[in-house]
Amino acid sequence: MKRRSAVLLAGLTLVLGACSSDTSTTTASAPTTTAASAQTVTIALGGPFSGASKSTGDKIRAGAKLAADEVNSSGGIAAGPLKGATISFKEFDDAGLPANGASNIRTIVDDQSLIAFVGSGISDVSVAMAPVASQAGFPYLSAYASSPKVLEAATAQKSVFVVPPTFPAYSFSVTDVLLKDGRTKPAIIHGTGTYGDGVTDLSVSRLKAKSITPVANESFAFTDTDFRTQLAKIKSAGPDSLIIVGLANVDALILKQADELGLKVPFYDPGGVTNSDQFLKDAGPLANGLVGNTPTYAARNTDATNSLRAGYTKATGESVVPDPAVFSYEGVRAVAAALADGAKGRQDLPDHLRRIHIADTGVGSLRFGADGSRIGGRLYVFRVNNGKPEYFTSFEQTGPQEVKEVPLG
Amino acid sequence: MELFLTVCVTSLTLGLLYALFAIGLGLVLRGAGEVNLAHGDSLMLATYVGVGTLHVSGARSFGVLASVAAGAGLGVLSYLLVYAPVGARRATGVAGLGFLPALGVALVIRNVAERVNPQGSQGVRSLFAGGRVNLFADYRLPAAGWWVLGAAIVVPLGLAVVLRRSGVGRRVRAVADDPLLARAAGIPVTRTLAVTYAAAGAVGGLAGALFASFFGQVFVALGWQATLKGFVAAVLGGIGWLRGALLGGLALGVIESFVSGYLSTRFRDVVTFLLLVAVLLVAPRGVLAGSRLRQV
Repeated sequence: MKRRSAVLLAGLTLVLGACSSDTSTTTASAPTTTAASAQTVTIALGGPFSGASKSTGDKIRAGAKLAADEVNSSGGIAAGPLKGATISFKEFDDAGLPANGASNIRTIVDDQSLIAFVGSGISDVSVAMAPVASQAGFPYLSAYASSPKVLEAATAQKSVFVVPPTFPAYSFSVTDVLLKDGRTKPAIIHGTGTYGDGVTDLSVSRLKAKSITPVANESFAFTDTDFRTQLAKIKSAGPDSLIIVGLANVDALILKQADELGLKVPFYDPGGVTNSDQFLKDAGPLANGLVGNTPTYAARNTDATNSLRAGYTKATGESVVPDPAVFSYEGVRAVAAALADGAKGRQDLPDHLRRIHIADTGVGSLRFGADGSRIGGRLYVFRVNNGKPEYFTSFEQTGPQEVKEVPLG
Repeated sequence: MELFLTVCVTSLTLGLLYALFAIGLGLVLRGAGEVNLAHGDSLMLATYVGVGTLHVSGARSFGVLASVAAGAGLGVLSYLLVYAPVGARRATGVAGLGFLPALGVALVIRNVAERVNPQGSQGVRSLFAGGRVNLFADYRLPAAGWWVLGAAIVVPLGLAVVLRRSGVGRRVRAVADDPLLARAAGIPVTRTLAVTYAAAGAVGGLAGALFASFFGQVFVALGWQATLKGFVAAVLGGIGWLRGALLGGLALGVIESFVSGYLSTRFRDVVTFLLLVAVLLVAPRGVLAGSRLRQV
């Protein structure tokens, strides 16, 4: 039995090691709902509906469903050849794994009943999916994944769109605030991968443009839970601030462990992950002083904003509309607007997506540039005070790599 | 100096947590000859039960006990409902695929946990009493760190005493050495293996409660992480009852922390797995195999 155990253990450990980066199920995804008829346009809805990032997938689903319910309850597509058609979804679970996403998009492209794709919560997944969609000229709207690499990877045909403001907008807005705060010795701790490395590189480049080099730049894997070693190295470098590029639960852990080590500096989140009830609850008073950004401005008071907020609260019971829900909501609204603009189907939908301009989706205006990036997206910058975000400025994305500061409103 | 001391403390706490993960895996591997891929997921779900109990009752001790009991219960149920029946029907030709039922159980548990906690991760308050203790400079170690240290001493010692001195311990060891001979000698093999799974699950439940308390979080992916780290620790330490797991866990904690602290976090897993491959090549049964240490 001992010998058998040894052989089993040795083999399995290598197998497990090879799979160490996966923290969620590796089961191949499959469509979970089907609905199609002559009066129905079916959108492929993708995201991590299982696995470690399931909460992101749930929000993507909730936002998309809210938009579809709004369109359907108001009589369907407002105009165009498909006037009156209702919107339904066919779900594709990627479990947050690029391989699943790559497999899903081939199925989606081949399924002629699907008119567009909306979704994907992880940049690495979108980077894997977008080239396939682009090659086929299939309309692909990345809702939440916002790495510039999504568009860079999709150059064959202009059918890929990124609904959220892109990484530069997120990164530059908070980095600019850090510079305005007079920080000259920032340190960085960031997750690895397309998101973590991407946002970090942009922050570093923004700092270097002002002749500032981070005093330390440490990384971690998103599956990590202990950051004390990296934080000790950062502390020994004597920073005056710390840029954290992580996820909400990770950022809360980093704040706690920094406190345990006596690292008391202001924190900056250029990843847009800290405007969440979960983070503020987990981090508690340690979150006070943290600077972050978000596309949703709690004090925004327009008809569209109030409608979005009320609809989401009614559907989910949550008071804050989280980012993944906002962008999947906007993605579906964009598809509906493009169809109302005259699109006949998947072939000409990308052209119409580039033509539409929704003045106010609830978080601001929505239109796309020629390259598929969002133009005019707003990011609102806040500082946490007494456990609540207090907004003090905002930035507008004016190009793929450009932002400008604009007053709140 | 502060960095060095921080790395040392991190090595110790992480290593001891990994050791506790590995002890549960090692008990089943050594006692039942099975690779329990569901061990980590069982301890993760047990941790949720413990955290939930703390939330409802407000009593830390109830939370810890619930976590331990849930771990033991999941271990026994998995064995009696899945592993034992499947094992009895398994053709000898596919004996090497015996880990598949455990993989299935792991996936079921993971899906249940995702229903329990759809947020993916959850901040929790400590299941163990005590505040932070200043160690050096500004470093204040959470109380759960001391509980980890205590558990890593008490659990292996307690299990060693039970395995060596008690009747049930002797039966567990007899079944581990030769189940057919044990059955012929009148030992209730199924019941004894259920005890082995229960003990492994209980240790897992305790390890999960300690992990959640030390980091202030519990999350579904903890299950997979615990299985992976536990296996690596078990391979490094060798297939023994206890000491191999303990030393393997510590070795893993030291390697990870020092590579992160003095090289780069990006090289941490590379170095760890290169070392693991080296161990498998040089001493495939673990670095402690053949030594007297692995006898307990």
